[in-house]
Amino acid sequence: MSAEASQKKKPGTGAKIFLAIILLAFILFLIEGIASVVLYQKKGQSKLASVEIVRTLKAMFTRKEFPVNVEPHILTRPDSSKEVNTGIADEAMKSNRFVQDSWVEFRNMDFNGSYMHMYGPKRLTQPDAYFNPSSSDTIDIYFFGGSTMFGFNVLDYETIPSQFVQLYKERFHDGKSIRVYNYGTPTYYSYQELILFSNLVYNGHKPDIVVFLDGINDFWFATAAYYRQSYFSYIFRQVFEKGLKTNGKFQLVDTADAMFMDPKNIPLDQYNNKLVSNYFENIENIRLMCNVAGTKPFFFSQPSPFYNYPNQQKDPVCFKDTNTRFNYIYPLVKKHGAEHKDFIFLADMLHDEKGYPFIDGLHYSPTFIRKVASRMLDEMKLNGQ
Amino acid sequence: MKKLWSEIKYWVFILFFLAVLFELVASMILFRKYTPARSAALHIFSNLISKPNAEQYTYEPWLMFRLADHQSDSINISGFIRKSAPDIFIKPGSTDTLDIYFFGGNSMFGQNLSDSETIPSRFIKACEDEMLSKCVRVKNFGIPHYYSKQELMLLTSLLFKGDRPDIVIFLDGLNDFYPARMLYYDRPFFSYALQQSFEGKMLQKGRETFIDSTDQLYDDPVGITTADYNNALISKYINNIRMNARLCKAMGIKSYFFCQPVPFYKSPSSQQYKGNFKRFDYIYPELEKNRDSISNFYFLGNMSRKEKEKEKEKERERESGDYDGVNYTPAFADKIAKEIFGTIKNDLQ
Repeated sequence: MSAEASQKKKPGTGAKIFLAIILLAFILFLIEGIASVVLYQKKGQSKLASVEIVRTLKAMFTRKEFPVNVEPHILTRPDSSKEVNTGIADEAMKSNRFVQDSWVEFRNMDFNGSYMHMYGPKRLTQPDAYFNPSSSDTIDIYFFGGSTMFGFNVLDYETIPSQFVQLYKERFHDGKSIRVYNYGTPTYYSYQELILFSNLVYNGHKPDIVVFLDGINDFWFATAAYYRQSYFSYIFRQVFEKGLKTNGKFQLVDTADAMFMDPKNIPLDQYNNKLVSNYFENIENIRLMCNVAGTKPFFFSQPSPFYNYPNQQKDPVCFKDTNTRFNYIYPLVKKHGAEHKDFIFLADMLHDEKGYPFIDGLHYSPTFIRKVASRMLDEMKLNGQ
Repeated sequence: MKKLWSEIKYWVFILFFLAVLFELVASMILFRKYTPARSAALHIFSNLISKPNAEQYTYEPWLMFRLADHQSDSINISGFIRKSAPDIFIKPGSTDTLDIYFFGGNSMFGQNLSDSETIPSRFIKACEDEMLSKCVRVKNFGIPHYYSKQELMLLTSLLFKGDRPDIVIFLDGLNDFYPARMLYYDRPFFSYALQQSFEGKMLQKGRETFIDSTDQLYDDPVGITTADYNNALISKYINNIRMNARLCKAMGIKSYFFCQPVPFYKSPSSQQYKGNFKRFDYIYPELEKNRDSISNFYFLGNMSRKEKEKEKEKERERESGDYDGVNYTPAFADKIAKEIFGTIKNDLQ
């Protein structure tokens, strides 16, 4: 009887195999889990993956959408119909695509729409020149910057360079002829603009004046500026580290979000100070290239909704973030910039703004663009001579 | 206390186990965000067993790529720099040290050569033989597949970082005029992959396969006559030299540009090569003819030929001995180093 009982207790071959498979799966799971922990600890953003996953899940439910809906267009462009404003908002989204380009890594994809036109590294400017028949000289002015100089969410004739020409024509009707080019490209920051300008010089361009408007991209998704990489460097890095070596299926991992975070192993003050010193080093190198090309530079530090904007929380359009690194960085930029005649701090321009200076979270409305262009024209003291 | 512990210990263990399990699962999900691999265990294992290869490339912002760091007995690469051995000539009593940066493609890098056989290393040897009055330190920035424009951008980025060499030396020709579409379209060697990474909608789909089109770089493009293409190549090459010289002048740096010997130019052994290598028979004589109109430009393209004239009886032996494929032998790299040294010797005194 007891022999029978003990025979019953012994598991059969099938059960043994089943148990072995379960055990093997558990061991494999454990190995993969430990290996994942090792890899996560190497490059992960938090000390524990659990913390990051909880944060990510929390962010998924509280994430604010990038406000590129039509409502801000209607608010800031009340003279245009809802259909027109909807068309502009749609076109801004459709045209927001990039192609790979040598040396600068990427540029806007060529686009030929109703309101927006891009070709090569340039955005169309309307008007792109003011020709005074009695002037024998034409001043070529190149404008560089990120999406605010590009004119994200605004029409070709509403961009800063277009408004600059309009205002110049109004103020200096008898002045020299001017011709402007808009090299503003979304996500570009000062170092990328330096490379673009250098490449233009190497390709034979000789502008008389170059204008740089920067700040938001240098200090917002600051990891790119800190390491002097581009916004899409993570794609290219993966292509080389994995894509080319495997010579087969390439799986891209999107890590763009990491660019907006402060690095975990660098003290915040040290990080912010380095961002400021990188910015001014880039400016110094632009001056160097201007020396090579025989060009006069102007550097403008741009207004941002995160700095000196008392109406920020009441503004229905712009981002409401407070306590960003701009409160630390911009006063430093103002102080250092004051040492140079060619540097103009425009970031205080929002101080008295009560209307709608933004057309989305951080891009300027047509009205505010005109104010920025007007201030640039004042500060550059062209005087039409 | 003991009683309380005995009551809650199982719950503590269960909670601890669940926390560890959660961390494992979270890591298994999140490591993919930072490391492009499907399995962490396989990734670590393959990294452990993979042998380092001196010809592996790594991404480099703005310049697109460089060679990955490598350490071995004969080949050592760190960042942009291939080790030179020796990398310095010390003249006792001299307080001055001239920093010389060497730029170029495969030939300057020293493909298939050991660190001590590369052109910059042999240049130091020439300094030793000549007993210069100043100390000389060299850095080898030669990188396979780099061509004149890419080297100009590399020098530019080094200057932006604050490097200030006294002299820069460029050795080009092979990568400018053989895989010539790079120069013509202003697109470095691996552009095809990066272009496809944007055009292939990778951000939307997450997966794609690259189509390797590097072979096309060696062929003439359609829609342009051979003469126009060749003339455009010459003009772009000269423009890169002029821009380089202008940049160096603004920085107070002396610059020298050498057009390198290639196996295709008037060489009977050139039948084995792919693509249109015959364009060298048009481009090189044009460069030689115009060499005096380009400041600090020196044409070394016919070095093999001159040698032949000197030592006709050894012609056959040398033709097969100057090149290994398209790369120089140690003896020929030494000759080029001596030629470069001879050209710039006066500036080193």
